[in-house]
Amino acid sequence: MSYLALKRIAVKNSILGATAICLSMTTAHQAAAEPASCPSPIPLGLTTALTGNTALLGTQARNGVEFAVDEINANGGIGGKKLALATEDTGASSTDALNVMNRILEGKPIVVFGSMISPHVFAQTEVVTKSETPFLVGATNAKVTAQGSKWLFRTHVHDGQLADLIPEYLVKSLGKTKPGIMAVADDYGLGASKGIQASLAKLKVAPVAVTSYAPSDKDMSAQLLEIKDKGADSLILFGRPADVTLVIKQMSDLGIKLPTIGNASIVAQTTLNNLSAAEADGGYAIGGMIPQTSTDPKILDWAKRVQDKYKVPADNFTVSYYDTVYMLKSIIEKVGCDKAAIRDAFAATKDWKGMLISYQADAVGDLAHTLGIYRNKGKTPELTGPIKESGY
Amino acid sequence: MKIWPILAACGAVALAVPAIAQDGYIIQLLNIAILNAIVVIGLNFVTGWTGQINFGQAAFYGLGAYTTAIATKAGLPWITTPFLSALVVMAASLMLGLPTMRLRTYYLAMTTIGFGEIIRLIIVHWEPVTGGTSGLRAIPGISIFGFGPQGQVQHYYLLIAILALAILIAARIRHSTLGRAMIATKDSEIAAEQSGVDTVRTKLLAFMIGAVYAGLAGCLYASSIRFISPDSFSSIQAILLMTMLIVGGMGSIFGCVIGALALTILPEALRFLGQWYLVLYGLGVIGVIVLAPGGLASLASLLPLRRASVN
Repeated sequence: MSYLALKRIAVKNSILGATAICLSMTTAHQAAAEPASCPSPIPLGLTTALTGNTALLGTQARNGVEFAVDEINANGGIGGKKLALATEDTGASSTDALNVMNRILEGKPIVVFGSMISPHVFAQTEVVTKSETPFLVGATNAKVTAQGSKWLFRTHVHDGQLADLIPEYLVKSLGKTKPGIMAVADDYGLGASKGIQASLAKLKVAPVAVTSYAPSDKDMSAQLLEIKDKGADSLILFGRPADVTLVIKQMSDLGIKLPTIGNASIVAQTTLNNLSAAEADGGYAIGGMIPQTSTDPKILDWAKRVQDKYKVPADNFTVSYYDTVYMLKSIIEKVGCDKAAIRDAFAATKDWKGMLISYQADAVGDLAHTLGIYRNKGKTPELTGPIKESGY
Repeated sequence: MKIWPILAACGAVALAVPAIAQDGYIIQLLNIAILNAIVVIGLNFVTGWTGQINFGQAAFYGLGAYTTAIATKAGLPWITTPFLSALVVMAASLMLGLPTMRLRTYYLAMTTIGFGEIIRLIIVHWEPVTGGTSGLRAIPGISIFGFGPQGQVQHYYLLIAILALAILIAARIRHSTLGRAMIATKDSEIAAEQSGVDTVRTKLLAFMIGAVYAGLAGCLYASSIRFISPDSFSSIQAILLMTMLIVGGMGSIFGCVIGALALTILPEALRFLGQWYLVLYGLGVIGVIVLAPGGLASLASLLPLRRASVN
């Protein structure tokens, strides 16, 4: 065959090829707008801490995703297609978090639900962004959404919001001006502690003591006595349910009676289960929405069903991740399974009604702007009222 | 048995892995295993050959990683970072080693645990420099005069080459006067001193060489993973490194590599078991320690013995 003949065939093939690509792109664009175009089953990924010292939080988040996925599948899936959730344990290490994310991405999920542990999300963001997959996280470090990834969205409230609202409530509503601060020395607690100190400074209040403890510490009496000895009139406490329980118990043992305010761990069911009514009573918390405090029988029934199924109480993360799956469902029903379209839909979220709050996307990808103020009455947390981030 | 055909076969398999695996996840995992192997070879100088229990290796690994991350983020060219990392860990190992090398057994182990905890606390609380518990992200990658590995496969080949170099240097040291002094110190400090070995100097050198291995691995870790946080260099990591050495085979370079590969890959390979994988992983480690006290590296020599006893 001559060179000219070969060239003619090549040109013809190129034109045919280009036409085919254009046609397929057009049809793909049309098809992508419908859930029917989704693969069956629809692949979803989840990486969360199921072992290690944050396993309880990770398990509660996993329960939220799994419960929603099971409900959706039991009701016929999305457009008749079932959801297939692949879950991987990040453990307590960022390196492991990156490993499992690579593993999850090999399965080509249309979205990945990430951890609530911020360093894990920091480690994973680059690889998820490169894969151009929507990344839905509950990580609470304020900087998580400041990484500049247009694929990352957070559906849980963050430390920055809490750091502003806790001092404001303590000073303006409870009238306390000599707080001591105690925080767990990890990404969650130390980040919040710094933010709280900055917010207190804006209110012209200086904490009498700023202390911290390692996540594995079991004895916090030295820090508590320092706060007491320096004449604190209140305690701002930021930690995980397991260590917050220890702090409150040790306060009781040491006879330290200070009004305590902190993150949602103070009113979490897992904390309250391990405290007496006298120990738990009077603790304040500001944080994500906790289902047990709702007066809506449907939400209480949901919390009971989650508890019955997993033997672990639903918490604010369970609610947030559960809502996220349903938000994803409503998006797929509108735009199909095209990942860029899903990302754009998350970025355009406006007043999407979740179980306890409405979600609205801001410019950086934060969707949750409503927090709850809680107070323990004995061992029962009560919702004092919702509080919104300024501007929402 | 001739060692060269075995080494050539291992090299051929290592070079062929990316073509066989064709899986980013597996290559990434192998890259981390290779980095762990370099750190464990470093630990072998101190613990395997000189007989000093050292739980500070993860801290040296972290110091190397943080030095690289801070230097490259400050705008220093990457080529300077291996030297900087080596200098920082050498200084740190001297600071730790000089006052503690006269300590023995559990006392030294406790001191190195304390050292690791001090480094971790500095990293956690010196937030403006280290990023605190949030870590440092967007760390510039490996780049030598504008050229650097792109993607996991190229990183893999670079790391394999560095591991081969690390093995070669370790083997050369093992058969040098210093290496023999290390073994003599491990066998009996009193006897070694009677034979003219300066045991404190030997231990200090082993400590420093081990720290440099960890520091350089940390440098490569920061530049290839491009995110570091304190949890990657915690006391848990220190225990894991020691376990890799014990399971692989203390005193054996080959054992260090096998131990690091096994204990990096095994937990991932067992993930299909869900939360039970930790149980099986633990049982596997106990099994190796009980059935082959010399580590996985000793299995090759155990098999002919067993066959002979059966016959």
